[in-house]
Amino acid sequence: MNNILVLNSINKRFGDIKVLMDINASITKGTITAFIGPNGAGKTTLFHTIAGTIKPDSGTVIYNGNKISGLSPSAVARLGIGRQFQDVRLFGNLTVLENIIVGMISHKNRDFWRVYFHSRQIKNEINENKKNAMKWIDYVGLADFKSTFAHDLSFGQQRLLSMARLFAKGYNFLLLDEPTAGLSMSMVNKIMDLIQDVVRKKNMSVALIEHNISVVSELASHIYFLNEGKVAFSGKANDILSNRSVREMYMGL
Amino acid sequence: MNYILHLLIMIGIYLPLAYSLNLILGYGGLISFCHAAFYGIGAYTYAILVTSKIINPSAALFAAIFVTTVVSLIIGRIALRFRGDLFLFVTLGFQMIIFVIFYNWIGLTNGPYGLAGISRPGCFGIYLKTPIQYFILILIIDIILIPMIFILYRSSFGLTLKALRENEIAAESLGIEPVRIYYQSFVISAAIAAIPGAFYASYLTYIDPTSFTLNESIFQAAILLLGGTGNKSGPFVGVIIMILLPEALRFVGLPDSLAHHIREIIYGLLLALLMYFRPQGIAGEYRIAT
Repeated sequence: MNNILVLNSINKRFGDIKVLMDINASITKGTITAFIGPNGAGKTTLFHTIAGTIKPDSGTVIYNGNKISGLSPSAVARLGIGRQFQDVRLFGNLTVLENIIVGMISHKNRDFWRVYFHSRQIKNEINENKKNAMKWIDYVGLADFKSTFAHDLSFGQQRLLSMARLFAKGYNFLLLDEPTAGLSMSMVNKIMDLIQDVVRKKNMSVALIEHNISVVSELASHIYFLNEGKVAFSGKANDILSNRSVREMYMGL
Repeated sequence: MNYILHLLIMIGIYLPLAYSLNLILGYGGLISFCHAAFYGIGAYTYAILVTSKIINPSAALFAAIFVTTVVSLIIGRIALRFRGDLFLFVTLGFQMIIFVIFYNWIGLTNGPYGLAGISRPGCFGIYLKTPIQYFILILIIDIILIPMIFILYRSSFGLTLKALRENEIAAESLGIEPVRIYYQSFVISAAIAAIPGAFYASYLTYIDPTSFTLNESIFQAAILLLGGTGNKSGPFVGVIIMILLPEALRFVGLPDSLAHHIREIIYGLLLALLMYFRPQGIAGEYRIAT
């Protein structure tokens, strides 16, 4: 199987509350997989577990054949897993351009002594990154705002910037937590196009949390339906979305 | 003339202090209340080594940097388990501990009596006796030191620190290791503070623990909060105002018996008003949130 990410019986409890119970899932390379379900079903906790911000009580996360559960969030990110947050989490007092290039600096070039002893190398890297960053800023349509502070952007623009920050970093796998929440229809379409585009062109794989069913049906090829910390249903998108129990439990139809 | 030179020398000593504190406080966004402790360790290490004639002044300067670095490695390890208000209180605690050591380890620091007779560094056979000579020395030190700090400000390291200040979780999700970067900035900022410390000791030729109290740490943080953080101009403006404002108030012509108290009140009031009208500091670009 061509799985980029595999979850093996993940369990997590906060105090007495079981948030994740025996979650098994796998995500195929180059596809978009959606995690849907009611609020409190454990979707975001599951993303936290994959990204390393929460350690599972038991179970393993396998990425590209290697166990990544137990690694720090920054180590997970350096393996190529990118994360978008529900509440965007930009660097408000940095410009649009800085928001993107700060993520692109290679790990070793962040150490202070290299600033003195490898200044040329760092300079080249940053110039290279700037060019790349500009490409992505253009791509999401923020070229006119490259010197604007991120906190001065509108919410929709902030979402686009957070997308550009992810895309520019060159991840192989993206965790997107409600990328279209609170956006206008035209912005939703724009973001969907961006996601489909990178998946197709860069062969990225995406895991997606989304409440907007039309977005899910448009983007996802596979769906996991979570309810009360368990995988209630999983399978091909069309099958799940037409499943009667799913429609009753989730969409109230 | 000597009075003006004295003020210029004090500005020259405070500039690298403010610029180094800016690394952790302005760029990293962590308010540290133990910068005066590092400044003091630098001053005391230098003073002890020079007065006991173990090594010459220039070697003592390097020893001062070394000892301060070692202490900051230990303090930073512990303090950086915390963020925000908790970080502030942990550094405040270390500031108090180090002050108590300065004050009570009489065998080493001579306690409250202080250390006198700290010789000034000589260079090329010129013994720096007059204020103007000492001013030139401080000027040279600043000209070397401050651009080195500025290189850090605008480097990949400085940008990474800013990202951590703005949103640590987002920074982590981009592969940045928060503690690694914070730790580096904490330790270099301490190591740099040792240098003005040593020059302060050799300038006055006498030090006692009262120069390195919690008040002094608060004063140094106030320089940045007032002037502005996270850039080059903020600390400069802060140092100039905080050093010159009390001096300017001397000339206001208050009755002698009240002068001191009224000066303190005016000083405090001016600071409070400035913070009210410009919370990001006079030349700052962003506002520290605790």
